[in-house]
Amino acid sequence: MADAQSRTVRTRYWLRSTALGAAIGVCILAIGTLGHEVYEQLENLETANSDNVNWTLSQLEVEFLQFELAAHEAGRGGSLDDLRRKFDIFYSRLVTIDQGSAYRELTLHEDFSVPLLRLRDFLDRTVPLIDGPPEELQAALPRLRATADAVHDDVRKLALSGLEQFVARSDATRESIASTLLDLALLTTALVLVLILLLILLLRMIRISDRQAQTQRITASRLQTILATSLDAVVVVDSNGIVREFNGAAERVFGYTRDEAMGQAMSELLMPETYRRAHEAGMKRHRQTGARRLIGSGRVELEALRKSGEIFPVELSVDVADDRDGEIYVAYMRDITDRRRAQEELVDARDRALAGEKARADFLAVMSHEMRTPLNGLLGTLNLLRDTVLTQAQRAYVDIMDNSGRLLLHHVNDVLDISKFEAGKVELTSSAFDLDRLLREIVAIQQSVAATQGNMLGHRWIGDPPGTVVGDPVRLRQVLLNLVGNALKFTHGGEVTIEVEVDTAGERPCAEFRVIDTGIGIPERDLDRIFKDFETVDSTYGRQFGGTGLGLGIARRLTLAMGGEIGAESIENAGSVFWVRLPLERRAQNGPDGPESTPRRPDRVLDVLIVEDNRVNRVVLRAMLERDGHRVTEAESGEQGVALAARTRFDAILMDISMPVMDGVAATRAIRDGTGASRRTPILAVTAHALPADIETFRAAGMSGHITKPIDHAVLADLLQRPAGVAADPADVPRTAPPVGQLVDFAKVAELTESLGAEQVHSLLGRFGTEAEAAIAALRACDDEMPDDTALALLHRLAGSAGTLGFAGLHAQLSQFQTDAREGQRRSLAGTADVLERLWSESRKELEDLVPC
Amino acid sequence: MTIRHIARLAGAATFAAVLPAHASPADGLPDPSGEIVLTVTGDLAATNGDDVAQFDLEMLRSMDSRSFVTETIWTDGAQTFEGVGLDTLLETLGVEEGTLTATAINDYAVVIPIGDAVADGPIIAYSRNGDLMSVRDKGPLWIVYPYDANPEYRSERVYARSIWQLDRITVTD
Repeated sequence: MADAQSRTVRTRYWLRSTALGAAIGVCILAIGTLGHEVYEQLENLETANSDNVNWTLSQLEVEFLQFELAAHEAGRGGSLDDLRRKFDIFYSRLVTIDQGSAYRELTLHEDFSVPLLRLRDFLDRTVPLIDGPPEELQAALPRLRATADAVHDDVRKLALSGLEQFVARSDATRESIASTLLDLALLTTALVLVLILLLILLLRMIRISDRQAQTQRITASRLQTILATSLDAVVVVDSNGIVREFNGAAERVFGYTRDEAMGQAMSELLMPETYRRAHEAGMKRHRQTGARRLIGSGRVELEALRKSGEIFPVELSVDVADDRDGEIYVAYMRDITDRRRAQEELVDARDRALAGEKARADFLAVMSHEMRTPLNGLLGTLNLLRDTVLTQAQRAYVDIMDNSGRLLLHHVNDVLDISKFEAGKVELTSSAFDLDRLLREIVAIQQSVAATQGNMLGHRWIGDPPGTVVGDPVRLRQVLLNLVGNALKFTHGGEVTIEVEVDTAGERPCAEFRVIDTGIGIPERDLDRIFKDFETVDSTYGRQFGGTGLGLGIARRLTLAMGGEIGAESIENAGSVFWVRLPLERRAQNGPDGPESTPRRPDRVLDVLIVEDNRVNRVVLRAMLERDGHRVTEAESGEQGVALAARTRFDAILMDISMPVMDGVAATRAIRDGTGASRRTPILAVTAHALPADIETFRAAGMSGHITKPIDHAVLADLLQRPAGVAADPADVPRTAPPVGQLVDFAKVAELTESLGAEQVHSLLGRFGTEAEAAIAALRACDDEMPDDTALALLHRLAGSAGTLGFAGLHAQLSQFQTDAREGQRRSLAGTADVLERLWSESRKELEDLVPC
Repeated sequence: MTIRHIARLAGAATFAAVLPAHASPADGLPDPSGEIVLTVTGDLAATNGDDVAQFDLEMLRSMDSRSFVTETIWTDGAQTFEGVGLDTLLETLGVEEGTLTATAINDYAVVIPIGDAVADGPIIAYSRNGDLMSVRDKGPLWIVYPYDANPEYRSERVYARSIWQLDRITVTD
């Protein structure tokens, strides 16, 4: 913009100067022309003083008088020759006037031409006398004098008229000269005016340029001061890379004096050798294409060279400016050696601190894990012990050991959780779930715990339930379970209520969960502390109730991670309210809602035979069926199943497919081919793998349908309600597959807890743990790559149990492994064992959170 | 007359006295035989009298002549003049400097700078349009400039120098 402005100003000056120059030129030219004219006229005037015409005219009369005089003389005896000569002279004069081009103008006038004509006539008449013999001339003298006297007047008239006209002509000439002189004067005046104008303009320009020069001086001096006082090195380089300015800071930074640096090539002086080539290329590129990489790109960190040869880091900012001789580059450089060092030290310190922190977290995680594994073994074995024949006292001891072990496991899990948070390993998932259903599950799971302390547990909505919402149900469940567990722990014979209110008044809707108890309460001074890690309110409290004090810390972290708030209010000896406020994201109700959690009452009561070698599965199946009001008979193997089916007529047989010795298919064939009571009973295959080819085999063997493990209660109920013999296509049955990637299917666990009770579920968990450890050990014992049959069988059983108990992640992993093994794919067994172990321990922990002891 | 001039005249006289028989074009002009039409006086190197050079028409006509055609303000139409160049005459007379004062029969006199006597300059014309000139015709001698050939000659000053009925010329310093 400044450029355009100065261009406009320049253009204006140029135009003005040109116009004035042209005006002066025209004036000078005109004055020159006029001057020349004046000179010529002056010259003419000069010659007019000896004017020939004037002379000739006056001479005419003189010469006529001389002729007349000669005629008189001749009469008195004078010379005739003289008379003749005078006549000739007069004659010559008159002829000149008559014929000369100079007199042509005069002859146009009548006053002149008439006398001239008469004089011509006189001459013509006189010539014969003059040229005649002397005697005749002598004789004719009187006549000659008379005729001459007669034309005397004409001579005078001619001369006077000529002179008169001559004067008129002179007047005209004078006027013309006067006019020319006037023109000249006017023109000169104009020129002088133009010159004065030019002078004024010139003075103004001088004043402007003076002012500009002064401004520039001030600016320059200010700039010089800025340069001198700049803490950054300022180096100005021209387009050839030559140093043109080198300020004091630059002297200090680079070690060269200004005189040493000026005029030197910047790249050789200040740039480490490794950068020079790139620099030259960059400069060349910029010169040729105007492309900028470094220039004008703000702060860049580079390395520079000191006089001492030391290479040091600089922060650099370069830009380009226009100079008289082209472009110049202005570089600001800051020595950042100290800063770099400080930064490095900081980074080091931080890394060390982080490494220490991480080491601590890792240590905790490893320790927790290492503690959990033997604990699990211990608890599993205790469960096995419980199944043996024990005395009353022994059973009580086992219970105490089991309880203590579980408590210990719970604490270890808390520590692991915290260390996971510290290690930043907690990730939130987002999925759609029914909030009311989740609350019901929690209440169901904790019901038995509540009962042991004589507490009433329930939940209620203030306002309408929001239906399906989007969030992380696992973490929400964990938080609420923690709060409910806490409330139940500190309440005896009282009431614990989960109150939920959706608040849509704020900017974004949120849900507030309030866990209200009528317990012992917390002193107000302790309310702030309770969410801190390892805080128990007091030693007495801690002793009385136990706990690591990590539970609320975990709840707080999870709540914050979900973008919510957590807090507590309490009145000592009256009760506490723990509240959690979370942002709520509603989900439009467009998909089919999950299956009713309450199974439908069966239309009829059935006698059902379960043929299943896996005890866990048996227990679960039985629980589900009995809950629906059916009567259940169990068989632990194919042979036993065939035998029972032969003896009793069942309404339905649930046949596990993978069983040692006699598998489900063989058992079905045996029943169908036999003559037993149940030979026409519908047999449903219970299988973890329902490949189309498998299903074909099942049908061929005489099965009427199949159900996929893990068994879904609703699906099972639905299948059993179908008319006998009608095969159920799994696709027809509403099925709630656990969300992908979820470790534990909570709906299933809730269902299990509801069906079997917490005690039974724990017992099953213990059994499953034993199975899992056996399977993993077997896997490890195998030669690498291909599992042996024992391991396969164990894995198969474990897969069944995992499905039934709701270990969705583990189940998926085991199923995949089995499929791979069957298809002959090899994989690292040790790796698989590690994966399974990890999945198992994590799943178990989650489940134990849900179903506290 | 300056002293230098007197010395020069004395020198010439001495020279003439020493070598009376040896006539040369430088100091000896033929004597006129007819009517004298032009008398030149002044500081002359060649004379045919006492410090005088007298010419009759024949003498002039026998000298190198030149002619040109020009119009004049005193005549009507183009005129052919023939005569002796003023430069030729002065060369013949050995005049190299000074001023010429030309005088006519009627005693009209005019000063002609010697610088006017150049090769393409004025002539002393004795013939106009092939005829000798009578006194009535501004003869017998008329100093004419080639007015048409040179615009500088078409000025009042030169017109004044164009003396007709030329009778005598005086050379002065």
